[in-house]
Amino acid sequence: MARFANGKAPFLRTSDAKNSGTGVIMRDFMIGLLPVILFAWYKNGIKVFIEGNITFLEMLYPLIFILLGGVLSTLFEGLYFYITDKNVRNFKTLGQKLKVSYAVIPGLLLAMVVPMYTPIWVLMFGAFMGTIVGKMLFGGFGNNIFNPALLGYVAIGFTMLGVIGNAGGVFNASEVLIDAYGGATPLGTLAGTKVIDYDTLVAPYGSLWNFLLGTIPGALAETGSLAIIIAYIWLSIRKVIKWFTPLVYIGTVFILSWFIGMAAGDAGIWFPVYSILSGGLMFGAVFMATEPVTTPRNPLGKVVFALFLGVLTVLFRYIGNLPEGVGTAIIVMNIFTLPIDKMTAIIRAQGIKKSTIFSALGLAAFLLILMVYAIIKAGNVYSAFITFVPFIKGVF
Amino acid sequence: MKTFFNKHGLITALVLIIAVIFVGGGFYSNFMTNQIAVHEEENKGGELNALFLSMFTGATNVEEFETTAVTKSYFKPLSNSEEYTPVLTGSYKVLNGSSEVGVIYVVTTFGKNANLTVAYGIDLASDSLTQIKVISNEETPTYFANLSTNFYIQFVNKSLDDIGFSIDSVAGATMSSKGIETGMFYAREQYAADFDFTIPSIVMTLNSLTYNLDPTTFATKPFIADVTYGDENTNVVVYLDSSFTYAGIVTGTEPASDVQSGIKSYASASGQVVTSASFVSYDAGTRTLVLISKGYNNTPIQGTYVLNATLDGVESYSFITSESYDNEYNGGYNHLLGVVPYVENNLSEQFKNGEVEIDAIAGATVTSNAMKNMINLVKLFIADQNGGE
Repeated sequence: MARFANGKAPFLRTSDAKNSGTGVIMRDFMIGLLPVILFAWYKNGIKVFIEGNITFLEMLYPLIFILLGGVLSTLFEGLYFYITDKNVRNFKTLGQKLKVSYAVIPGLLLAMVVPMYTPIWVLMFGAFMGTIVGKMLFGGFGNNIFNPALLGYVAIGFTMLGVIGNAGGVFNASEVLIDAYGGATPLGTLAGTKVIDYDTLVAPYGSLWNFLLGTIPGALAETGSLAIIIAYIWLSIRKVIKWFTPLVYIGTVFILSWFIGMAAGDAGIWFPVYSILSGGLMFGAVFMATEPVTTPRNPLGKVVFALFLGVLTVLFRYIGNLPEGVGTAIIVMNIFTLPIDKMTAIIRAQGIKKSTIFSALGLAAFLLILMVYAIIKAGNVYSAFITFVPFIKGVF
Repeated sequence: MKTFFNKHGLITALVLIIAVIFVGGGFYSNFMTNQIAVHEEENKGGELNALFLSMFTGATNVEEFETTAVTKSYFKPLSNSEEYTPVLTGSYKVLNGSSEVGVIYVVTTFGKNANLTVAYGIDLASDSLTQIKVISNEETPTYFANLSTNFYIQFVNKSLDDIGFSIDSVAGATMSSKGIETGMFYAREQYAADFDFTIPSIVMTLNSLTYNLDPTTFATKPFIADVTYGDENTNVVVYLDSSFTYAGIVTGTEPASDVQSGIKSYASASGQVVTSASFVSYDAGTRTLVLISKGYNNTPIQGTYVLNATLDGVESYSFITSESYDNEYNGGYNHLLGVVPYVENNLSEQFKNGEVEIDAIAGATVTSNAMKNMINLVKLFIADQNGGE
């Protein structure tokens, strides 16, 4: 995170300066979320209302749902503070406490990455798991190991998927009418058909432009790639996030997907583009893989972290049974934040020397093995209709 | 109270807000989920509406109307014993502006399977069908696909006043055709009950419907119907073609066209003769009788039977057919491989040997039935050659 001192000493303390500090960072972060929230509301509420497929009250639901996520995590955190800390049992101190704890963010992010028809009580459960279990029990803001929003997301994902499906699932009232979708999201189609083919994966949803704009089925706010890119640019300019973390993450997925496409028999550039614009990759890369507390702090650590995220996402998404993969990859990598930070800090401090070269090489080799495995394995799982450059498939 | 709120106000507020969100959110989410079904219904209704409007030229809107469904039983397709009453699934008035131009009955009948639902559009001014649309069915898709445009075109502008109010079935989808026809009959009954319309009736008795055994005419006029009709009990014996259409007079005066179509209707509904097997030719010099029958998927089987010198039995037989059936059954044949037609020969051999009840071959039921129909015709022909004995 830019405002944390990660470089080499001496450090200049800027957090006390005007227009600086975590308060400003969080304000900028919220501004960054705004286009994504608005897009989610537009796509799942306003647009569907204009098309005449829902009523006014239904139109408001996506917006209320997302805002409620923020309210719920704030309430749970307030409750936790009240119970555990005698000193904050009044409105004023509790308010101050919640303000510096950024209680609103986990719930807000959580609400943005779950399906549109998730019942509010399920959101409540997710917000509870994220805020209380994922954040407060670890000691609150700054001490948590896992990304609270993602912990809530994973908790919901492992326990409540059926409930969400029964309540209506991921498709909004306009999307259910489109026969071409066949009741599946783009990644769902890939997981179901195991076929890497433009006409199967992209054409039913329009073109790759629809993927960029976000007018494809998916969780509430995750599809709005363009809005997320705008947020990414804003957050990078404001130095809220390091610009290269999402880039390395998405770039890794891009390149690996391209190789997987080639291994399966279709070397078209459309497939890696499809891969990075589907599911929650963009959202996770910009808003979650950059989270200051649960990800490494020094730049080299961030790069290593993002590289692993890319590889794990591809592994989970294309080889595991998870059609998504982003949430799980980030949660898994959260565990390794501390060792990565330590290791890369030593490398940064000492440079490539005898003492560090082995650990660096070991890390690189491990990463490489994972990548090659992902490509070969996925290349054999999927097939393509056109045979173009099958130079890896069949070699092993 | 004030003390309580001073002390516990914050926790009360927090818990209350969470409780309100839990309850209110539950209602909101539930509402959202319930709305899905509502929208589904609306969309379905919208699609049906558009479909109904497309059945009438110049129609602007469709309104559902209440009516009492008539009770009338029909036989299930190709059955003479199993009766059922079709279900009136929906009834709609079709409007052009504010004036009623037509009515649509959605009727569910039996085809090959249950739940064959078809919409029948009836024009109020002319008392005729405009067209029909299949709403849903559970028929075998490959068979149902045999119902081509030529089948549906029979319904277009078909007058309900027609005495011979029937349609020709499509080979390969006979039961579906019959099911849709039954729905048409039922829609006419319902129309007669709801509107100022009387189903035309002509007093007619089908005295007999038999095969034409005269070798000079049986190829083109396979059936002979003996009918008494009208107030004066006029009796005629007429030739009918393979689809029971009037094909000439045997005795009596040629009946009017509405009586002809009435005869067709009665004859096709009687189920007394099979249309799948028929005579092709007979050469008295060589005593060679050629017939044709329909095997699996209506593949023609042409059989040639040479009668013995006394014309009371079969001397030899042979077959030409492009039918093939699975080799795993009884050494079944594939004509491309030049293997003998096992089923045809087996059944004909039973017949030649004087077996009264010919046993069908398991695994080739359709071919067996086709052969039994053919052999039945040969029996009838032989009996006729021996003075009907």
